Order: sequence, then structure tokens, then C-alpha cells
Amino acid sequence: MNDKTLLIMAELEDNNLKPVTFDLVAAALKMTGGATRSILMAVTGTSPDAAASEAASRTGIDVLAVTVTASITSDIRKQAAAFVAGEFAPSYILCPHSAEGTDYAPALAVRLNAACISAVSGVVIDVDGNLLFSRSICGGQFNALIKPATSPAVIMIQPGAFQVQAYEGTAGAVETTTFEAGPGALRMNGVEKSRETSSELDKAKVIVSAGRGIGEPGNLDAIRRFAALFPGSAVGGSRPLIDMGWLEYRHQVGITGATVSPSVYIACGISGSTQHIAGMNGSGYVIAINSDPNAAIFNYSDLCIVDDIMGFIEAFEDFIKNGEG
Amino acid sequence: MNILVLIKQVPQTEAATDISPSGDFIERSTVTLYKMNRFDEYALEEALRIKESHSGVHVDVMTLGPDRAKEVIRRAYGMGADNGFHILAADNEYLDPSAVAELLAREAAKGSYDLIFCGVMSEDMMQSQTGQMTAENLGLPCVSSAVSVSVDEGAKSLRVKRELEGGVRHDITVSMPCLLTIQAGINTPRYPSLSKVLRAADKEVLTVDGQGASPRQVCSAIRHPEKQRAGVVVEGGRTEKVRELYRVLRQKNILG
Ligand SMILES: Cc1cc2nc3c(=O)[nH]c(=O)nc-3n(C[C@H](O)[C@H](O)[C@H](O)COP(=O)(O)OP(=O)(O)OC[C@H]3O[C@@H](n4cnc5c(N)ncnc54)[C@H](O)[C@@H]3O)c2cc1C
Ligand SMILES: Nc1ncnc2c1ncn2[C@@H]1O[C@H](COP(=O)(O)O)[C@@H](O)[C@H]1O
Repeated sequence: MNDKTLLIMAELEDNNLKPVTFDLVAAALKMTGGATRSILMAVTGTSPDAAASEAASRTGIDVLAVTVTASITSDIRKQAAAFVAGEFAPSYILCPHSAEGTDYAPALAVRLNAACISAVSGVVIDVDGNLLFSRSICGGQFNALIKPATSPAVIMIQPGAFQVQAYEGTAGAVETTTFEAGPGALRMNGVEKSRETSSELDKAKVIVSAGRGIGEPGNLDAIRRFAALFPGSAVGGSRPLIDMGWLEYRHQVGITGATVSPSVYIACGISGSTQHIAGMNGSGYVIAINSDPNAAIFNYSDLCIVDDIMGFIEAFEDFIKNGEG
Repeated sequence: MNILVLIKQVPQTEAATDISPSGDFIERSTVTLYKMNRFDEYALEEALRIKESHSGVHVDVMTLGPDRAKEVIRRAYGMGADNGFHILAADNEYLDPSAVAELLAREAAKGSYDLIFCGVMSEDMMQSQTGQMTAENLGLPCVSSAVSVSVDEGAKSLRVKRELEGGVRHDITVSMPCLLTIQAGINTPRYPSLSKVLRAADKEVLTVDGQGASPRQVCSAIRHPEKQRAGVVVEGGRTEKVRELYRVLRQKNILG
């Protein structure tokens, strides 16, 4: 296993593989043009062997199961990743841009004197054959193509951004190693599994979601009236509305809220940041109403309406009231 | 106890931002208005609350950016920050986060801070990593995405809840000194008070030159993102837009 140039750091929960691990594999295959030979996956956990063999058979990639002899926190994860990177000297280290990944990967990069490119959603090969990493900036209005100037470089992959392919070939090889972790600076006291969620958003055929573009909390009444025009609908919201106390948490759509997939999703005054898109991109048909013609949400919409949201809703209500159509 | 909050100046909206003529970065229009990064307001508010509920706490702020970035320090003074530091950097140029974190750490190391707070993410560059890298440069433990913080001064430690996907939370104890990145919703940031703004009117902002950090990445090009869906733009005035939405919803059979 010493011809490995690309190291994938799998993500586990309770020693089981998390789906984002396969997103990393998809990104890695994009980087190598489909070849698995030069890729190594490190599966780090207190008891990682079962997850390691599962990963090897589901991807064909060679896997190193790293047993850590301490309860795992982000500082231990950082130490373990630096240990594996030290053994193999890869050119690229792929970590997830997840809550866990963002907690350790940037520090890992500093430790290795490596560039760190976060929230990567695409890989592009330039005319000279260099790999460029595409990431969303400015609320999703632009993509920046970033070139690392170091080897290794830590690349943090945006969950859901790469097309995961099913694999049917032979399994990769599995090796095992143990990492004696040094003392950690963090102590884990416990996990609060989930907060109050709602079946309302799950069941809804239509979700009308409000964002900061509605301007003030009083305007939620108009959003609710708008939603009430559609039987089987529910009201959702972007995170800032929940943060500001305008809506309860159970209405929040996005990576730290609910993942929804109604037939129709209507985004009202929502900019379309990656964290919101992650929660609604599985919707059947997406309509966005936003006053900024360059808003990122329009890149994820089937129907784009550039208008002031409150004025538009009022006009739509009038149109219905007056029995037109 | 000394707390440092890293605050960044970002545009109020990106509506006037475009790709620079050379194509290798963005360029903001001269009419662009700026503000404090929203997540950093939460970080500063959290620090100010600790100051108000414990005795002998100082809250300093630091920003790296062009000359105009000093405005966020003025705003922080208005909210109640004690001292402000400004690291001067170029405008309309891609800043490598490793270099930014190196410079922030270099200046932060000159103070003796028990706590450093950052925002969970900058609204313009959306990296979610500058704080974590700054911590590592300073050799400090770090907890990202904090949604609740309580200080145990006696034990010199913090009890922190950090937020993960789907609202799951981890309850963590971390010893001080340390760095936290603060997630939105942890508090309600205050507005600057007029009396504090007036008192801070002639308060100094210490500026140092941001040089000597080595970039580890470059921005090669900026592109407009590709459309992921049909992206049909409804043309015409409001009446036409209303009619078109009505037609589409009718066709999808979702109107009552
Ligand atoms: C770790 C992490 C997790 C996160 N999790 C989530 C999550 O689960 N869900 C989530 O939503 N966000 C989440 N966020 C926040 C996310 O990054 C964005 O800040 C948020 O989604 C922005 O919400 P918004 O679109 O409502 O507000 P903004 O980005 O402020 O956008 C407002 C939009 O309204 C438009 N507008 C303004 N005025 C009008 C008008 N009169 N008429 C029509 N349109 C108008 C503007 O053009 C703009 O596009 C998370 C962030 C982090 C760092
Ligand atoms: N130029 C800067 N000046 C001060 N703080 C910054 C700067 N850039 C980033 N930060 C801090 O790092 C956090 C995360 O930024 P980012 O890594 O760009 O998403 C911000 O919320 C700030 O607290």
C-alpha cells in the first residue's frame, strides 16, 4: 500500500460508515479518472474492522482500518489522520465537509503544512493537467476554482455534490493498524440525538418556505395564506428565521434542519446557500421567488420568478380572489 | 479573563458583485455597502454576555481586511468591545485562508487570551475553517459550531454544545485557553448603543501590516455556477408572472 497518492478519511457513526464516505469516494474517482489503485481509505474508529471491510467491498478501494485506543473526539481524529498521512505521504487527503470534518480537517492541514480547500463541490482539470477544486462563494452566486500550492493538500468534499456510483467488482484489500492516541484536550459528555422535528414537512405535497427576504416576521402571515392556497401544504423556513425566533425549529429546512422532498417546493426570499439547498434539492419541482436575478436559488429552480416577494404574493392572491384563470 | 473575537467585514449583499476583468477573482462595485459577518455578531454577543455575567472580563476584537474593514471594529466598539486590532490586507484579492489564519494567530499571540471566538462561517467566502486553523496555529483546542457555551472559571474550562447535521448536539468539555466557532441562533446580537458609539468616536484602532504569511493555494478562476434544473425565467411584468405561476400550479394540479 505504498503507491497511494490519494487518502480518503471515512466518516463513521458508532463504528458504521456514514453515507458521506461514498461522496468522498465519488470525488476521489473523479480526481483519478476512475482508477482505484492510487486511492487508500482510512477507516478510523474504536472498532473499525467491520466498516473497513464493508468499505473495501462496496468500493474496490484498499482500506486501512485504524483502531484508536481512546474515545474519539476531534483532536484525536486530527492526530490519527496526521499519523496515517505521515505513513503514506499522499498528495491529497479527502475529508468530508461535514460537521465532523470541519471540526478536524482544517487543523490537520495546519499540522501538515498543507493547503486546505473546504466545501469542494467539483473537480476540474485545467489545460496543464492540474486539478482545480471548485467551491461555492458569495452565497452561491459564483464558483471559485482553487489550485492548491502544497503537497499534501487537504480537500474537504461537500456532501451530496458528487454522483455516487454503485460498485460491483472485486473488493479492495484491508489492512489494520492501531493508533495510540495522545491525551485529548476535549471530553465528550454526551450526545443529544435529535431535536423536536415534525412530520408536517415530511408529509407535505407542497412546501412554501420563507427566507430572510420576507423582511419582517409579520410577513409570515402572507406566507401562511399563500401556502393555504395549496391543499396538503406546509410552511418551511431558512435557518435565519429560526435563529431569529420567527419560526420554530421544526420548520427549518436544510443541513442542520429537515431534509424534505415534496412534489413542489416554493422558496420565497431565500438566497440558496449550500446549507439550505442540501435540505430541499430532492424536491420534485422547485419554484423560487427572489428580487435578485442573480440569486443562487435560481440555479436550483425549475421556475424562476424575479420579483418582490410580498408584492408578488399579494398580486397572486388578488388574481385567485377575482376568479381569474 | 480576556476574550478575543475575530470579526470579518463582508458585503451587505452580493447583488453588486461581479467577476473581475482578469477573471481570476471577484470584484465588488464601488457602491457596495459592508457589514459585520452575521455569524461574527453572534460570536461577539456571546463574548459580551460572558463579560457582563463575570467580573474582570475584557473583550477585544480583531479583523483582517482592507482599510474599510476598520468599520466593523467601530461597530464592535458600539456593541461594547474594549480594544480593536486591524490587520491591513489587500482589497479585491483572493486571500488564502491558511495565510489569513497565520496572520490572525500571529497577532492574537501578542495578547494573552483565555478564549477566542470566531463565527462558524464567513458569509462571503463560506469556508468554515479560518477559526479552526487559527486555533491550531496557536496550539489551542478548538470546538466548532457551538450553540451553547457556559464558562467554569474555577475549573478553567468550558461546557460547550456543538451542533451537527439534523440538529444533533454533542456536549463537550474543553479546557481554556481554547477557540470556539459560534453558530447562529445561540443568542440575539444587540445593536450598537448610541452612548457607546459616541464614547468610542475617538477610540483608537490599532492597524498592523498583514505581511509575511505564505499562501498555500491560489484562485485560478471564477465561474458562474451551472444550472442544476430547468431554470425557466418568467418574463414580463407582475401580471404575466402571476398568470404563469397560476398556469404551472394548475397544470401540476396542486391548487385547491
Ligand atoms: C454549519 C451551518 C449549517 C447551516 N444550516 C442551515 C440550514 O439547515 N438551513 C438553512 O436554511 N441555512 C443553514 N445555514 C445558513 C446558511 O448558510 C445561510 O446563511 C441561510 O440559508 C441564508 O438564509 P436566507 O436565504 O433566508 O437569507 P439570505 O442569504 O440573507 O437571503 C435572503 C434572500 O432574499 C432575497 N430578497 C431580499 N429582499 C427580497 C424581497 N423583497 N423579495 C424577494 N426576495 C428578496 C435576497 O435577494 C436574498 O437572496 C447553515 C450555515 C452553517 C454555517
Ligand atoms: N479576514 C478576517 N478577519 C477576521 N476574522 C476572520 C477573517 N476571515 C475569517 N475570520 C473568522 O473566521 C470565521 C470563519 O470564516 P471562514 O473560514 O472564511 O468561513 C469568521 O466567522 C471569522 O470569525
